[in-house]
Amino acid sequence: MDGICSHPTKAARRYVQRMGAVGLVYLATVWVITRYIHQHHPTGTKLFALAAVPAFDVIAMIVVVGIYLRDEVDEFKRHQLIVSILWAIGFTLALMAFMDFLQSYKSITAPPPFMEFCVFWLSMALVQAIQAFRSRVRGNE
Amino acid sequence: MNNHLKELRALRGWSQAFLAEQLDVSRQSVNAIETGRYDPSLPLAFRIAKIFALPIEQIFEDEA
Repeated sequence: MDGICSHPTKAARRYVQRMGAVGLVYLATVWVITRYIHQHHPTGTKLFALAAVPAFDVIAMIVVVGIYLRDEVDEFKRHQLIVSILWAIGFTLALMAFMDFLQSYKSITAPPPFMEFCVFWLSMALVQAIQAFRSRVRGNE
Repeated sequence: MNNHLKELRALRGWSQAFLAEQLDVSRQSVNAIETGRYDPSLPLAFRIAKIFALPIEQIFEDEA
C-alpha cells in the first residue's frame, strides 16, 4: 500500500502513532462516558459537558492530520491525503443529507450514534486504499 | 504537463528509488510524476532540474 501506511516517511510514522493514540483515547472516552451516562443518568449542564468531551478527541484527530500535513516533506503524499479527506467529507455529507432527508419524512429511524465519525474515517481509509492501489510501484525500475 | 523524466532517468541509468532518494520524496511520487498522474510543484520541479543539471523546460513542457 502506498498511502500513509506504506513506505512510510518519518512524518507518516509519527502520524500513525499519534492517530492510533488519539483513536484509542477517543474509543476509551466514548466507552467511559456512555457507561457513566447509562449508570448515573446525568441531566442538564452535566450531560452537555459529558457529551462535549468526545468532541475534543475528534478535534485532536484533525490536529494530528494537520501536523502530518505540516511535517510531510513529500508533496505527493500530502496531495493524496488532502484528496482522501475531500472524498471523505463529500461522501459523509452526501450520506448525511440522504439520511436526513429520509428521516425528515419518517421513512427511517435515526441512524446509530457516531455513524458520521465512522463513515468519515472509513471512507477516508477506503480512498487511501484505492490511491495506494493506483500508485503502486513494481519491481526495481 | 508532459515531462521527459522517465527517458532522462533511463539515460543516466538511475532507478526510481535512486531518484526518489535524491529528491527526498517517495518512489510513488517519482512514479506518479513520470506517468503524468501528478504535476510537481515549482520547487520540486526546480529540484528535479537541478539533479538532472538541465533547464526546467527541457524536462517539463506544456501540453498545449
